[in-house]
Amino acid sequence: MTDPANSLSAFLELWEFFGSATLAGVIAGATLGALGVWVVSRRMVFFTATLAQTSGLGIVVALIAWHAWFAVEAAHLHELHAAPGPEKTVFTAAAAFVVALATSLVLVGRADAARRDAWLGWGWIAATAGTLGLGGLVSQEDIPNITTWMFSGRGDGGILAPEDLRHVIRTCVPIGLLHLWWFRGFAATTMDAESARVRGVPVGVLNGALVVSLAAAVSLCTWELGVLPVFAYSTLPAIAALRVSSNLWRAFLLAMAIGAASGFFGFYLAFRWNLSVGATQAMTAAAFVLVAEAIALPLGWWRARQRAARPSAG
Amino acid sequence: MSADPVLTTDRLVVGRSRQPLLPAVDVAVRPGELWAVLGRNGSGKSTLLRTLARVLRPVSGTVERRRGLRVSWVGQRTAIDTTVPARCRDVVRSGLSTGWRFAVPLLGSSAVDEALALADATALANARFHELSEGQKQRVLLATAIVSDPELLLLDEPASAMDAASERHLFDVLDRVRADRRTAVVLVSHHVDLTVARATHGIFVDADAAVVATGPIDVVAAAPAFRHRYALPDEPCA
Repeated sequence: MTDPANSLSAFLELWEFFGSATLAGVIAGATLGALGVWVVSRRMVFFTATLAQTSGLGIVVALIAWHAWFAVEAAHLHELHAAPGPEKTVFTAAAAFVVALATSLVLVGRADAARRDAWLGWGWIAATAGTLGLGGLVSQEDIPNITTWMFSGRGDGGILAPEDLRHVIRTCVPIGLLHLWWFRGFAATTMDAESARVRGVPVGVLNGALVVSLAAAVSLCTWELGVLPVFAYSTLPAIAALRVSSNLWRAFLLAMAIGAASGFFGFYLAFRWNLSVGATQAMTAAAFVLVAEAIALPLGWWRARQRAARPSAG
Repeated sequence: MSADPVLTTDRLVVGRSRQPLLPAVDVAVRPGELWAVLGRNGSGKSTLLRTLARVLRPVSGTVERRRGLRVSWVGQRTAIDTTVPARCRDVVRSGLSTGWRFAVPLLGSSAVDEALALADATALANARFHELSEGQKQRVLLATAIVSDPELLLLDEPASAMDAASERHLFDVLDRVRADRRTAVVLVSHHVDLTVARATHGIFVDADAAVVATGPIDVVAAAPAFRHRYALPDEPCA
């Protein structure tokens, strides 16, 4: 039976504590879910995983650099208390690594998709190996921080400061609005980039905007929420939505809704059963994929029967 | 009286990886004309068309288009990935995105309905694009190409999967857009008899023999290189 202390009403009563982290999950889920439609339909599912992994390498490199430079410098000046904390350096480096990889992918992707995929694989392996290899140079006290930043984000334990929520809103909402506004452009280039280019659609601008907005959303949300939910939001809602939608616009809206629902219900289920927040949000998004598959299979059979019964249209 | 050309080439040399494939091509395509690009497999037809479409860069020479020209394109392969869910209506609507128009709210769908009707694809409007036969897909892609009311239409083997009746209908549609909208058409085709009968101008290309013949279709069809390549008698039939 449900413990009343873990019910939805009890969860909402504690909104003061969990509200920021829940809303951050909902907003990140909605934004990354919608952007995921382009990621999945362009067969770039590995893209966000590689970006998130690259941010891990950025975190490790920044920590080493911070200790080698700022901390020594500050100690030398006897101003350790006034020295900048590692967080800003770490975030800046992680974001810079992500943007650098994303930019290189735009340039390589213009040549051909196979090279882009190869470059993605290279990025993932190099980032993972670099993170593990250089991780040995990081001080022992920073290792728990790295684990938290990479896998749980700052919202570890379900608490996120209102300031962090504002960061998520300031990053995700403009990106989401841009993708709504330019939806037809992104859709045209996703459907047939060559035809769109001939019609004068600025395919390079749109591809650049997509990659930069993904890099910005992924790096910020990874920082706040962790790698796992971010990778889940940017792929699973879109996989579910594309499976059951008849066109890209419906898939876009449905993925947005599934991402937001995964953020909210994932948090609530983690609260209810005392689970890890990020992992539960990822599992919730994964459950939506199974639901979509369960809907799509009979829907596909029904459509096939309808087609067979319909007179040929030529 | 002939109108100003919508597209001209000046000593245009096309090729791959900066290697010339054909001798220089000089053409001036005017509104309402139908230019057929003819030649055997691997003769450079698609390379020439893709260069005219600015998908490929010329090896040398230039392709000039009238300023602000609206261009549409139907490629040889269906480029729409099977992971992208799309009804035929959505595919045709995507053709309305020209230049930066995607940033402007779209009003109405009468142009989509008109294009589907013109391409004889109204019955397919709500069908899923990936569930169509290849011939049906080509009709929908033709509707996608004409929905934006282009001034220049570039088609790479638009009838390769069509039956004979559908192919004749394709040329009827092209005749209508040429007559009603003064659209210029450049198309690649392997179906020589029908294409020569319906085109106004031709570009015969033969990479192996390093030959290019351009001009009114009857002149191109009478060119010795063309007749030799297609094993036709020396004089064209009346």
